[in-house]
Amino acid sequence: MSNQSESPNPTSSSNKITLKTSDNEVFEVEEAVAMKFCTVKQYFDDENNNNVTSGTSTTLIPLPNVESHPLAILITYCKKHLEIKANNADNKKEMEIDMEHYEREFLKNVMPQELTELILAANYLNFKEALDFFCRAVASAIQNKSVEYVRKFFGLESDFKPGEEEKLREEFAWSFEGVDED
Amino acid sequence: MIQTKEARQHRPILRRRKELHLPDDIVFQIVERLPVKSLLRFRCVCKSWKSYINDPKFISNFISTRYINNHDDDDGYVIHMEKNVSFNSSAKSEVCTVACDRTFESISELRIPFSFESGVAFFVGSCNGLLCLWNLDADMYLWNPSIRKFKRLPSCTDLKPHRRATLGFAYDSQINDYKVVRIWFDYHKPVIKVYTLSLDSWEIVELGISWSPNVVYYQVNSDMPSPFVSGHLHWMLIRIERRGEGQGMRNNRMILSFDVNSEKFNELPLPDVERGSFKEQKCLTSFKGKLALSILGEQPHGTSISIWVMREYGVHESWNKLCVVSAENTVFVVSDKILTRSIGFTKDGPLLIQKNYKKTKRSRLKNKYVLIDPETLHEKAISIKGENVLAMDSYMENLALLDGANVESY
Repeated sequence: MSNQSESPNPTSSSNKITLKTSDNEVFEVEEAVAMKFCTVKQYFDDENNNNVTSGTSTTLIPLPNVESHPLAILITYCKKHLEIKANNADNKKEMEIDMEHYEREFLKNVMPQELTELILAANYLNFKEALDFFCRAVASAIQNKSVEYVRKFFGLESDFKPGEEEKLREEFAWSFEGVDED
Repeated sequence: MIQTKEARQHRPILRRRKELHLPDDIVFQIVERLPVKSLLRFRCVCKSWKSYINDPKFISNFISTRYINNHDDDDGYVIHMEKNVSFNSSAKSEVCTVACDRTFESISELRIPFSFESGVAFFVGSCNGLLCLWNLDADMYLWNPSIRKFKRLPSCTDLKPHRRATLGFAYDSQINDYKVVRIWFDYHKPVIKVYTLSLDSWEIVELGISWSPNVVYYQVNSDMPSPFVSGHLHWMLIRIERRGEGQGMRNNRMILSFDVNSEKFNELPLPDVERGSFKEQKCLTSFKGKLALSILGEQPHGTSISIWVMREYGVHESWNKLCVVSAENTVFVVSDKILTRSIGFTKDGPLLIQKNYKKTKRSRLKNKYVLIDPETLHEKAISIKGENVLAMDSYMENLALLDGANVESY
């Protein structure tokens, strides 16, 4: 609380920030949500520094590298993240349990391929918690998959010389056991 | 007028699929979060993945990121058990057991993939899941069960056979290297050698501590893995000293510490503990990353276990009594064999204790293992198949020994 009143640009939690995506959709989000996107925060701070006289921000922040679909998901995730944090301000363990529960539910509605889009958006927005979560989610989605599946997922091609890959496979043949079907 | 939209509930995607690819730095952030078995398999994805996973930098970061991210599912404990007491009586080789969770409910068995001529293996310790075993003689192995590889260390030939040495195994995080320290006392002359994995050789290290000329004998006292705390290995040292003309001998105990990075020895103080019972055993251990001391003493109706913790590393005044646990009806020692003992602390606090107890005076001795919470003194029996747990240490997945000379796969 005291932090807010001391800040040079007094803001209240009801302040809204407007974000415009590459496909020209406009999202009005609470400042607390937008400030979790470090790219937005940076833009917002720069704007405020250049424009000290304006008390409340009416800036429209363009996000030329983010489409509306992943942004909507990221906003939902971010809101929930903040809510869980606020509900368990004094209990880190409880917060982690709630967060884990939410993340598990969240992933039920997301296809592994969709994660790529979300990661790119979270990366551009520099939303660290989401980026970490989506990277963990991809890791757990691919950990039991075949080498071929992983190549396809990341758009990679084998560049081994003939025989090289077979040799590598032989070295840890047991690590190819129990792999999920693609 | 701009039309605003609330963030919508996200729905399963059924949209145009355009080829999106992740930049390399993010791809490798994902790779860093994969378990060891997947990493070994995915070295076959392409050349850049192979060299990324094989890179010693990745292998050392792998350990530190597991610590930071606190992957509770991945870490556990390794328990070394005595030969021929495993579940399968036909088993010839010894067994290390890995408990994959904190409650010891999901336990898997790892058979030691090499054998010692003497038939007996001793557990030196586990560092980040790399295990060190030896046979009290020249044979010594490093073993990484998570990638199924092991390495026999070059022998330390100058050691006199059957001379009881004391060992310690540690990870030097500053140079990302593993070291084995071997100490034996040729009466009052300590002979110390340090093995460094990256050099694959033993080097002589001087003790560098001058002790009173009255010291006639030293003994390093520990059957348990030497606790690795604040970058140092620790052993309990007993010095037998001449008191003066015609006054006989006295012994005193101290802690000998070894800085794994600088390879320097030091002395650390023990807490000022009043002498308890006549039969007593002191043992160094670690509790939540702090150096700790367990003192077991025989009591009229069982065994008492006091735990001391050095709250601030190296500060004598910071030794603090954590708890006293009394194990009723247990038998502490029978003809020099310790039957009730503390095996070690698990990561979040509980102490694993082996108890040998009698229900009535005439009944037979029974062996059991319990976890005791040092704060609440709550006790929980755990079932460890096999009768005799020799040692316990922490365990995690690791890629150490992936490359290197004389490393064998199984």
